[in-house]
Amino acid sequence: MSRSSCHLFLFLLLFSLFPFPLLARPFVLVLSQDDLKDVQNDDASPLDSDSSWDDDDFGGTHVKPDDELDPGSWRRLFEPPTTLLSPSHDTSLDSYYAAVHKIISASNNGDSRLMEEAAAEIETAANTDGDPHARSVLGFLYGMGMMRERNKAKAFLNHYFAAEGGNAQSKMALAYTYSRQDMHEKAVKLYAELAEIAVNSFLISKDSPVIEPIRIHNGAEENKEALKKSRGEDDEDFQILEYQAQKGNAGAMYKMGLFYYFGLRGLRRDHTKALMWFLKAVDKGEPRSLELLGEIYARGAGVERNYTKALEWLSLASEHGLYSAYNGMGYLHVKGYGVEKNYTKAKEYFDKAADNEDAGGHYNLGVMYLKGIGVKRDVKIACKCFIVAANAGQPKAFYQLAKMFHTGVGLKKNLPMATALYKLVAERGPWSSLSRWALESYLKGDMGKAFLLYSRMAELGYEIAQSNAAWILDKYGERSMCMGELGVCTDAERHQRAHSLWWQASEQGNEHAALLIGDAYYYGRGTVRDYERAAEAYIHAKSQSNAQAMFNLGYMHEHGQGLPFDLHLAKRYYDQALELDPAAKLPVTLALASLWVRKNYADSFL
Amino acid sequence: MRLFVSLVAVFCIVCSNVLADQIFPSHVAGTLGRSSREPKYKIEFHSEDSPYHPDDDQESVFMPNKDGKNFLCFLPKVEKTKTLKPVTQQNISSMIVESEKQVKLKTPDELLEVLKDRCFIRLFSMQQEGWWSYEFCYQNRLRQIHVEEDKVVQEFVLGVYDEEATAAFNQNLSDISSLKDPRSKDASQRYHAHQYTNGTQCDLTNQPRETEVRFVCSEPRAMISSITELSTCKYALTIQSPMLCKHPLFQEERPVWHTINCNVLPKDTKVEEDPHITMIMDSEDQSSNFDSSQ
Repeated sequence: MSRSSCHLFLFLLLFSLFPFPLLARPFVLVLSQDDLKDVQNDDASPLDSDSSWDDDDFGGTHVKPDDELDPGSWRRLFEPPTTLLSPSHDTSLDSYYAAVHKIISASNNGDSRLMEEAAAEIETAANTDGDPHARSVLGFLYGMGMMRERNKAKAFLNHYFAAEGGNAQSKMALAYTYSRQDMHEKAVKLYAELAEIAVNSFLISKDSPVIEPIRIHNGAEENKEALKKSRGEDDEDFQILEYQAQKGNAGAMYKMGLFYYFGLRGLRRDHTKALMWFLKAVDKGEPRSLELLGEIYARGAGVERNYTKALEWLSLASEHGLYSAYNGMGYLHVKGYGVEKNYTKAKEYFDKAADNEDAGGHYNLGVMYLKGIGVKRDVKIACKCFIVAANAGQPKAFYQLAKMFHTGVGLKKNLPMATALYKLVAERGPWSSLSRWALESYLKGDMGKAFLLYSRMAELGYEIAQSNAAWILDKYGERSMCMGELGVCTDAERHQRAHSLWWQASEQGNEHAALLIGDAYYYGRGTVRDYERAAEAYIHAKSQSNAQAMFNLGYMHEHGQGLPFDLHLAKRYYDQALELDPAAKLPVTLALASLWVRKNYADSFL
Repeated sequence: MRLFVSLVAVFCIVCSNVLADQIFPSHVAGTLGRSSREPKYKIEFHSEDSPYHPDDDQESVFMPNKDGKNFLCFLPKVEKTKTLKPVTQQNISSMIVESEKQVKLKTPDELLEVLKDRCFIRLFSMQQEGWWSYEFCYQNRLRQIHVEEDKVVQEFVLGVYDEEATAAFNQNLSDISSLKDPRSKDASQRYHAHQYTNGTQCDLTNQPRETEVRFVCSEPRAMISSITELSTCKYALTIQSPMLCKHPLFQEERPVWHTINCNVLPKDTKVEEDPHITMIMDSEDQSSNFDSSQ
């Protein structure tokens, strides 16, 4: 008797000490010893001759305009150029833009006639002229089943040719399709291209806040917090800050500059304003602006490029203890901009940054070791540097690591891993502005527009967009202005689309999505009620640590719905749910009470 | 005393596991991965000298390009989504009669024989069972073990191969059962089951542990894909077995490749509307609520 109770005690103790499922972090990198290659520096030759390792690994100063980087971008429709661009812009694209404009306004009003017109125009442009951008939109229409029958083959075909024709968004969509189909060689090649474009638009400054698309919902509810912070100039908090800055508060001035420089909080990037605020802040003695001023002058963002001034600002910043400024200084010395090229000094600077826990410093050191600039080439050390930088969130480091996985230099060749990392980087490219426009539309109340834009992004593979689009469909139903094959979406089409979107999101790790798929089967929403499938979906969500799913599974075990009637397992699931989410205390307590009653008084009831 | 010491040791080990900064790419999570049964698309190009000859009912799409290179592409025929009906004994025997003329049909067990005397081991690090590894030996036994420094520190036997129980189970269900797949309302995952019984005694049910080992057709190689607890101390272990795909009933589970074939058109083909090539709105392609061919 004592032995079995010992066993029970042991079991319970072990159980309670189980490593708790790790809280979902956005992305973290795991590398085992296996991944690190035991290579001596014998890979010297392939690297030097590889032309893709271009000079601009330090990147950032020569930023090309978006139209070049993202051909066919819809930027023109959402951010009409305030200054007159080069007058020789492609008039042949006018009809394309006109049609897209129609699509967007049609989706806003739910105007199916206008949409059909636009679709026909797009089709003509694609099929008679072979315009790649029109093809890309046609692929979108076929993929979604908008004004055309939903046909994956045609979507794939159109995206393929559009990508060949240079449309970047189709490349993203195609790469995503390849990776979903486990065609890793093709996926990795495309993603590498896209990631390279993205990386070249990254800034070199200290922890440039990563502008990720915002998830507009939190579970089933709207994410009011995040949305509040994205209202740009309409936001109260922003206005308060602006007032404080105008009154002379140096910290507020710096923040204003920051918002305008990076385009945070829903504001449009405005380098001139940023410059103004930073200079004002510096006058008031705010040191943090010094570093960004240096970057502004180095990039020529809103001013004429002036490396000498840049160096001055950066040195001043470093003297104030802003170690990330050393990155900029080191960069200038590596390139020989405004100073004589001096690799030794550059390395010193990067070392200083790295020693003070600056991710950029580790990254830059990594590049030096990788290329053998100013130091003896050592891929192993480079790799270690990149890993540190990546874990601190430095996006360029992800790119370098992806390259290593791709080429097998420094890390064991691992195409799926390379694809995943490249995808992370690529998703930060210029086409990610779609999320900004979508969010703006959402905040303005243009659900149709927002849904359309998120759907487009979903096609490109963005998990956040997939879940946003699906959530809008679920929450707003008809008001979402979803466009189906013959006009406004029927109920069936809407459910099908939401299911497809949630499914894709869940494939990419969104456990809430799996939960919703389970709910749809459990309650019979848009499909036949099916407890067994619901259970399978919940099991999947549970494996991603979703407390709600665990609770549901416990319930189903308790009542024998879709799962075998089993009170032990029910209790276990309820306990797990509570462990994972303390907010579940009330429902779990009630459920456990009901279980207890069943266990002890089962005979009298049933 | 020994128990206490081992408890303390376990506690320390577990703590260090929890505190160790293990990090995983979030997208790898979950067993509902990409469906191997979703249609996959690829494009093949054919040169002018050896063009692709389409079937009569294949839809074609004319793809002109700005640089003058034009293509005529043929879309793959789309089969209507078949709903998988439950398999009855009669169907198999009739199938056997038909195909025996060409190829001697192997039963699932015969196909699985290649696994004989092989063992598989798997650690599930994403789920709660991160502590445990599972060792499965074909037609032998299934163990749940905790390994430390290459030594088995803890062990529960989840079942030993039970030939009689397996035969009895398969009698009723004609060798192949299926599991419902939430990917779509029609999708199911077919599996072939072996029963493993008489494992370590379970305190909660006072019965020995038992496991249903399910073999499914899935690429790329044989391995343990998941383990779940159906009810207390009754488990289901899923083994991916590519060899099973040879069986006609499992063949439907293979990844379906839809190839779009494109012929290069000679450069002087005029870019005009060819009356033969029209966009056929094929109503059969219409997909209902949950299209499994996503």
